[in-house]
Amino acid sequence: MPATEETIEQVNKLGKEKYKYGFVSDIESETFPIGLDEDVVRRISAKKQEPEWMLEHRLKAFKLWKEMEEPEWLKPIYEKVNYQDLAYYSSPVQKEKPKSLDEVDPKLLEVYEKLGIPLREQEILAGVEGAKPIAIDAVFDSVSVGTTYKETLKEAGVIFCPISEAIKDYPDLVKKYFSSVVPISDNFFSALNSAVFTDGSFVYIPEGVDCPMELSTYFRINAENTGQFERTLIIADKGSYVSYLEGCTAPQRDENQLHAAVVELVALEDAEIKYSTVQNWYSGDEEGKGGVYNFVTKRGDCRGNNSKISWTQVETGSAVTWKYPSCILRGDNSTGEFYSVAITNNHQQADTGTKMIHIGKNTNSRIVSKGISAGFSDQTYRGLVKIQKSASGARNHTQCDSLLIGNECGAHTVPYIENKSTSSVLEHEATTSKIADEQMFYCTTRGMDEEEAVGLLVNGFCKEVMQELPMEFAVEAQKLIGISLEGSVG
Amino acid sequence: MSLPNFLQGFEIADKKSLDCYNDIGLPTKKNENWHYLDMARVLSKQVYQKQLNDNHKSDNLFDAIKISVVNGNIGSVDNLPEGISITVGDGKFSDELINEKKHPLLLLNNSVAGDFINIDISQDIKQLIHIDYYNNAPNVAFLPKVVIRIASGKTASIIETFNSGKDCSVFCNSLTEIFVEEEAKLLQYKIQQDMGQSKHIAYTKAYVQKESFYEQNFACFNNEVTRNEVEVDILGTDANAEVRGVYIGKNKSVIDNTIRINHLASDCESQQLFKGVLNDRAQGIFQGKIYVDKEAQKTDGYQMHRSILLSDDAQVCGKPELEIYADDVKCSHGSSTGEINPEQLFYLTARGINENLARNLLLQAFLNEVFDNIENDIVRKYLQKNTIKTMETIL
Amino acid sequence: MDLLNIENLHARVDNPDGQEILKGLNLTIKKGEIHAIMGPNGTGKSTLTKILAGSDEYEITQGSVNYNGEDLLEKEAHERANEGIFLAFQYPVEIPGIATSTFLRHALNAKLRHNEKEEIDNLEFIKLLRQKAKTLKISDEMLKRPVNVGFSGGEKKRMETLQMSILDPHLGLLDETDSGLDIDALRTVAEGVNYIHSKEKGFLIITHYQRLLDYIKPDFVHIMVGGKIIKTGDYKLAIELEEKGYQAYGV
Repeated sequence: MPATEETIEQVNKLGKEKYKYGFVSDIESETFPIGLDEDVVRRISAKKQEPEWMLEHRLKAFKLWKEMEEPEWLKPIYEKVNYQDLAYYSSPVQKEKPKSLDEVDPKLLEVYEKLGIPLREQEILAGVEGAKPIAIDAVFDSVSVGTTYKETLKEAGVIFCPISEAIKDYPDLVKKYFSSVVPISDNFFSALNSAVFTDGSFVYIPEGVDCPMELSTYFRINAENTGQFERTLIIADKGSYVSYLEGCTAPQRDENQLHAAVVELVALEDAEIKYSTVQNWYSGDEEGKGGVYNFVTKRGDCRGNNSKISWTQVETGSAVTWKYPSCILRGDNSTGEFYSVAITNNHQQADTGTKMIHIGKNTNSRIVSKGISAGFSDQTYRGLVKIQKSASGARNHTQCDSLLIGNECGAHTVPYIENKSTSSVLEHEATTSKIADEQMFYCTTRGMDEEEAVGLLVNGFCKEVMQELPMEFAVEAQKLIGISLEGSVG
Repeated sequence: MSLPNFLQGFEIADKKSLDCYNDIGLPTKKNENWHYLDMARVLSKQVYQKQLNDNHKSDNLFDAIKISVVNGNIGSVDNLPEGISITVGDGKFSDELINEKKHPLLLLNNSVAGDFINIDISQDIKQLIHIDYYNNAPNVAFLPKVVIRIASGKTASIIETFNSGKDCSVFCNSLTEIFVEEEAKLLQYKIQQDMGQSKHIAYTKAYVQKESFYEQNFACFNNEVTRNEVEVDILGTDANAEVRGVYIGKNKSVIDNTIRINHLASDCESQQLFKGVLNDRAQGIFQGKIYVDKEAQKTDGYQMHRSILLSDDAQVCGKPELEIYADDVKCSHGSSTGEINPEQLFYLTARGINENLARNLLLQAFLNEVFDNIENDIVRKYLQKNTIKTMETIL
Repeated sequence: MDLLNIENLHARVDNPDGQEILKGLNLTIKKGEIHAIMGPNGTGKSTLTKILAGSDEYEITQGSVNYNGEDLLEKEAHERANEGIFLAFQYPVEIPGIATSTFLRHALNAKLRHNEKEEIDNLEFIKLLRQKAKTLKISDEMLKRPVNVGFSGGEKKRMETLQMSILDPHLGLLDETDSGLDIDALRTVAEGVNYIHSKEKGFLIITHYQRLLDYIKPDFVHIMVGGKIIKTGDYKLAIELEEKGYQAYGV
């Protein structure tokens, strides 16, 4: 039997592989009834004890959203979400806000243990020898449940807290930067998020500070029929540096769940933000039933000269993904990077890519996208590189490689290129191929079965992106690639 | 139902197409296929009319079998050699093309009454076949309908040239359907060199059978609005399709090349190669797509678009797409935009060549990569000569 | 005891107009024996090693292959590898993005799992790898580079030998491992083979030249022409062949 056919079989088996994070946690939660109207928006704001200005912001967004239409131009075909069938707030019940993790519902902590997230500081310390500790903010359904290492970070002047807290405690910072990168009216999903977001992470790195540890947020959707609308805002002040990690999982459910997040990054002069994501939302079963709709707006603004924003993502989950982490290269000599691995299998659909908007002089962007389609899945790389007239000396290099496993899947590459500057150089390369038979044979003559060989070869294919991930994340991501393609491992 | 306001003096030939056109309307930027060219805006300002013939005579530049079309009126064709038939009058596009396409301008062409040029090639034809479009009436509209068939195993070359008198405003909406039978070889050249304010919209559909070869070489020398759209269906194994183009733009010209190659059979090759030079406020657009069906294993598809911008106000937009459903294929695309290589420029000027000439030479060399593929000597030399001339006017 | 027993093997390229390449080949290798097959280009020597390793490019139309008393042709390529067959490729395949050490760890662990043994600890593996690499004059830096990518011909062949010594096979198939090697590299590779060789193991060496056989002494030399073995002798046959050429054997 030819290697490729066997590979298809292996991949077909995958569907049967149980989604590792597909458990539902039995935790008492307070959930709003389904439906969305102005009252719900007001109630979310009230629940969060928000100041008046934030409520106004939400209401403005809600008004705009009602007038907007869901985008139709996407490649993925999915059953449209009925926004009135969703609940917009779900929170694990807490009598009072916990003062330390010891007071958190032990069931909740159990969840994080299952997820393999070391929430407790001593566990972090007991981790890999010599590894940098990681500060974690965990968002459960819509609410941030615990942030570790707060004190250590505070000493360095770093603010890392749930955004709901930041709105109350640091209103000036939030007012200045919130919605300044992704305007409310930017798109249908960002408007919705601006109206109903419940929590998320807030990060501020002061001038000249190299953040002493990696910051991380784990997102999890647990409650049924609940949309998750988190909101993240990261500000790196002049000359500072931060590396931020984001991980996502959700339980296995027959209905589709909606995740519509907004992430805003602001890098001021000489600052650098490195934002890494490992996204493993539940992707539905082998027939394509259920799974998360992942409609996310992520954008970074290189506002200062010589600033840098780098997005790295490993996307293996979700039934439908719609995601374009972008960079606005406003400052002169600023740099934007996008490194992406997207793996789709079974009936998953992904439409993902990036936008690089060059405004400042001598701005530089680099895009490396590796797409792997297997099973019946369909994947689109959609990217925009726009060089404005002001961006003299701009450079872009784009590389999109697709790998097809089996003969029922598809890969689509749609790079939009718009150039208005004479002194710019844009280069674009794209390829589509399959795993070479001779590489498969070579691996199998060394004793690896086809599953292991595919996992290994796909990891090799993704190398350029994987090496951009922070060490701790890279190991997890490598395993995830194996799991999402191999099937029998687990 | 009636024809759109911008088109006057024409009769309706196909009501169904017209209904369909009226449902869709002219494409705007919301239509992905017209992402960078808003036809509704382009055609909002002026009314174009059916015009009468005039006794314009032109030289037979290519020593060709020549068909003259003046202001949209097709002249007679005499002294045809053996193995080719050209009839003017009744004709029909394939149902597949008309029914399945939601392409507004294609539907508009089919709505309007007018003569077809039917070219049937049954033997190898050594001479070039030349369709010479010339306009000298004001605000002329013409909607050419051309159907070309080439029999199994035969070879022929067709050239179409588009010229207009100075300051003559033109709306051209051309539709061409080409059938390339097994093992046949058809070379097509299109040269767009209207001097005036021409809105030139052309759609070419080619069906390419087993072991055959089809190529189109397009050249656009500085026109107002040009849309050259080519779609090739590769239907049989071991066939090859190549679509290439060169464009030079100045002032506010917009040149849109939209190419789609559908690989529907295995073991075929395709190539798209486009190069452009833009000055002033000119805009170049390239939307190229390689579609590979899941049956089309062992496809080798290649796509390249390169452009040079000479002015701060010029711009280039592109969307080089791949859509692939077969796992054993080799497809690649590349694209680059930039300026004249300053090192090369310095090298030439250091050898005593004045800067303008040096630029001209470097730009010619840049475009020659496309012309080098042209088999027909007369056509290649003609294009190279015109390139030099056009370059002199834009630099 | 027979390690490998090939009887009347016929095989063709696995496609509709595939040519027959092996035309009734017989060969028996006992434990502890080293066999060399020599022959002109295109006689099916490489095909034989690929078939033994489990390539799906060929279809077996007739005959049988027994390995350790079991039907080898029933087994998948990776099972054969895990049960002790190792093919040193004539043209080792490049695998970008995967470090040689990672690749080999996967391979070794696959074998350990197959034999129901515990997987090797990462640090222990690195220690083992470095030690074996040193004897083959392979630097640490090379182990970090992607599998065979950017290696010279000689480096690739040394890397194949390293893999063989890590995986410690029962039957080593060397497909023109000597081609493209200078004399020093040839000696290193030969030492590697001699180091692994024991009375429990067998080798099948495909070569054009007698040169390699100066360093690895074969027990048997076979001449293969037209898809089968036409003459078998001892080491002297290789010398004879070097002097007279294949013409003497009707080629």
